[in-house]
Amino acid sequence: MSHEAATHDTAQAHDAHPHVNYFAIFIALCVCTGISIVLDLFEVQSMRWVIVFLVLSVAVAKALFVLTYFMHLKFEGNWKFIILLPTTILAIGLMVALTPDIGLHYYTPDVPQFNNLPTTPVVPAPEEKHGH
Amino acid sequence: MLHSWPIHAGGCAEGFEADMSHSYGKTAVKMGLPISRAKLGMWLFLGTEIMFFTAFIGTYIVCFFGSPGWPTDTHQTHINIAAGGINTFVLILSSYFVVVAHEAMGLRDFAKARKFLVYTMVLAFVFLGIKSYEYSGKFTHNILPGKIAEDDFQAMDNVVRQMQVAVEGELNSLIPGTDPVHVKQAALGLKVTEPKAGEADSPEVRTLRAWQGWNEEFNRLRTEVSGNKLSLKDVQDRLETGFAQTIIVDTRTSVLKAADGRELTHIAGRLDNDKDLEAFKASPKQAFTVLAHTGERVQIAADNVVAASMPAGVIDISHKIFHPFVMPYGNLFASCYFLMTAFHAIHVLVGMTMFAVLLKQGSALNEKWCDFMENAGLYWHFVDLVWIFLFPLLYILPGLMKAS
Repeated sequence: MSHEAATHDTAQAHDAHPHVNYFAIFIALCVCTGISIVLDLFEVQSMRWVIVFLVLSVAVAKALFVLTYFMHLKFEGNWKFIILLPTTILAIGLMVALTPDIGLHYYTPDVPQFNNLPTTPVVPAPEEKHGH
Repeated sequence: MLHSWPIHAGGCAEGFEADMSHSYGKTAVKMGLPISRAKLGMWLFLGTEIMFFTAFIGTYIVCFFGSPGWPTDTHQTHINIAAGGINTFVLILSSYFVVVAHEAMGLRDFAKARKFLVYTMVLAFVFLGIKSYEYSGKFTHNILPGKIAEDDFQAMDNVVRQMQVAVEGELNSLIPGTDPVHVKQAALGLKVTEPKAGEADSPEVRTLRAWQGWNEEFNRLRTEVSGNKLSLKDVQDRLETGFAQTIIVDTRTSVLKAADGRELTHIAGRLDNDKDLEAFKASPKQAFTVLAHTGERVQIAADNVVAASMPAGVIDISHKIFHPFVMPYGNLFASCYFLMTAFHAIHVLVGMTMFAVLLKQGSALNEKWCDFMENAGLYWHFVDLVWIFLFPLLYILPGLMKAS
């Protein structure tokens, strides 16, 4: 931990109310959302996976902003790790466990959705009366 | 001397530390964590919530990336990025308001806290409003688990079933009552073939005849689809133009022999050319040539025409039939979408309830509610947190992967 952060933490111990510029955090979150939407406009086929990675990274950054400042985890004691680490590990573990069964294909997928891929190009609906 | 830990310790949130400093040196045994029990409980609960939502979100991610042909066309899935983006902003802003309200509570500015809680409530309603708008679009376009066709035949079968529901619905409105369909159908047929004097072409009989036309179209479609005689393209064409151009003609004499030898006085088909169509619209009682659905070309003399009409011009069932489309993995997608967003919406409602409890205190809101406020805030930020992941996964990624 940097010296500045350490000093900050010490200051917090004496101060019942951590002074965070919440509005700045709010603006940061808005900017992140804007970045996500702008990234969606990129249609560079070769960069597809990079953009996917960037979009998810932005989401993680936003989540960290909310957890750290809005949920005050920055100012909490080490108990936060005891509560959050096991759930995080289990959450990631769940996805890792699901991946071989559903997400990886060693063989050509043999499912109705793949075997009966549509033969007719889907004609767009003639008129959109409703929104989404 | 054993010290009992207070639930409310004077100040807001960190008041606990003040209490601890007071008890240092007096207590030999100190167990637990330096936070209120309520807050610890909330954090433990949020820990389980993380795993709860990971089950849905993780399954969605694995299905999304692991299924070739997973639906990514947002026009087809009716995913509205603008609506999702606005909702993201709404939740972020509400999270900001909550944290301001919490801070105001800590500073004992309860009027300000109440004001920002009201703002948060308003934003929560806005969020749910936009969400229901999105849901209504899904319902309108049949993007529902179990209702999405995943291959051509299912799409055609969907049209047949929807047409049956529409045609029988019209029959029920024309012949009210609880009789079975075939009884109502016979009653309706009698009214058409043996109308009261002078009513052979009355508006009522025209409507009943139009229903017969639709029923015939339905039976033809069902037979041909189950006989595997149509492609999805054929069905789409029939929905777009075929039904609209079908005419039903009643003649005084038999004009055609059916395959089984019956003589037909009733013929369904299309007019031979557009010129006839214009003339037909001006006055149906004239000579024209019909391309019958049975395949024959039939000349009809003007004197033979009792009545003729285009069913689509009398009874409109087209809006009751969804445009057929094929969406592989569409049902799994819809299940994931509704599971994730509906559980998120339930959490929004629970958060709103917590804020309502605080707002219900009115001017009596005081420092005793600090812990509750903090927990409500934590819960609300978690709701925001879930949406932070749902937004890119449901709204942004499909658009990115669509090009593949």
